[in-house]
Amino acid sequence: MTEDQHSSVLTGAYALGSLDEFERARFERHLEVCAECRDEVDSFHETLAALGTAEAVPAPSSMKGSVLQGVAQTRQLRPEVAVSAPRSRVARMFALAACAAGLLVSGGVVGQVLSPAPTPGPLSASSVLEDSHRRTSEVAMGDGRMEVSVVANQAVVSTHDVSAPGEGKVYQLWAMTDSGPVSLGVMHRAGDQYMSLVGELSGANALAVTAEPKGGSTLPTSAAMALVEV
Amino acid sequence: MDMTNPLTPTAPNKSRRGSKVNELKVTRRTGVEGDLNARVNSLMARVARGDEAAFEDLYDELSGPVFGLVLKLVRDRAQSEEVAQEVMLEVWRQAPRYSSSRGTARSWVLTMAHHKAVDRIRSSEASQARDDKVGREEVPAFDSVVEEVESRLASQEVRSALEELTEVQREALTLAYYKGMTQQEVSVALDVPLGTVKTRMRDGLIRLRDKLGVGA
Repeated sequence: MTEDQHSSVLTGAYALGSLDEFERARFERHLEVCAECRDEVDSFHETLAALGTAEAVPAPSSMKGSVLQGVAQTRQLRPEVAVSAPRSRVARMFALAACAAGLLVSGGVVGQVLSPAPTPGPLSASSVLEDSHRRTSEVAMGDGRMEVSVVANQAVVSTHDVSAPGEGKVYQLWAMTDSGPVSLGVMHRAGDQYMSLVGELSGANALAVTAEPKGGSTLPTSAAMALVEV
Repeated sequence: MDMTNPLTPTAPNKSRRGSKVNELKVTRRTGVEGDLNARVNSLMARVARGDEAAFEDLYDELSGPVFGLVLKLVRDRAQSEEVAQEVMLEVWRQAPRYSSSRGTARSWVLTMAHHKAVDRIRSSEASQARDDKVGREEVPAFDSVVEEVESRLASQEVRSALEELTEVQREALTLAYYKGMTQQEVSVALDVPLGTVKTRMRDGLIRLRDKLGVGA
């Protein structure tokens, strides 16, 4: 598949941690289905572990006490029994990571404004996409499709095989609420995909995408290209 | 694995550092490195079952690499300690979910450390103007970074493996791994198209992997 061929070149950049949050989330979707890339990424991680080990410096002596004290007070996660355990380990590892401010949320959110905090938070694409309890639905959009993964009140929206919205246009995501459409912002472009991260879904009955003039609109100015109930 | 393996000294650093060259010469399945990794793996299995004593041993094995790698990226000692501490605590917390099917426990922990360090760098830089950073600071700085990284590498083996890469491969890899740059930033810093950066990173890692004999 062309998308796979396009993705496979990212194994190095991914292992090096040099993808941004959206590229990372997108590539992790690819890893889910591509054992070849998965093996390559694993081998790169082993290689980099050799580089990392070569950097060893004795940790400050005060650190051990603090860590052990933390351990005494920290409950361990329960083992995962999900089918996709090997792959979600990676996703979780990266979900640990806080992402750079601004990359987290591509648009506004319904009901509240989330500040792009620099600390690790629950709102990241990987934290939704790795969740074994996520609900995923898919609808047609143009020539391709739009996928929505929902966990609790958060969602990741991504397009697949959807062509660009056209010169001077953007894709904008909307929450369809009882009182009408509310903008969730312009969708973030990641390669040939468009993605949005929705931090707060409450009040939304459905999500919709329209093509809007660059910069986005306050209300939809065209018919929905995709509509999915949440 | 024998827990009292003489090849895995508990007295840190000197002897361990000395053995590093050997570690890398051989594949992890058969040689010294293999034994070290096997020991870390079996410790991790016990930690996964909530064994705090095993965690302490695991800490002794990995806190040096973790702290060193984080320090390399973050540079500030106090901040690095904070990040390294967070990593070790996460190792404890997530140990039950580590799966050996995706690689060694060492690689799992160091990957986590790398990402935490990169996050620290990116979040502390997020408030600065990105354009400013990329345009003025990184470009003149990268030469010295590459040099410094290369000259301070503890392992001759790793160093000579890096030397076998092409210049762009080495630079792309170094800027991403030791400076925490995104591929876009690397592309700007090296003045090379993004597509080239992606392929050089991958090609470089493949060469490095084959050279070091540490395939998964």
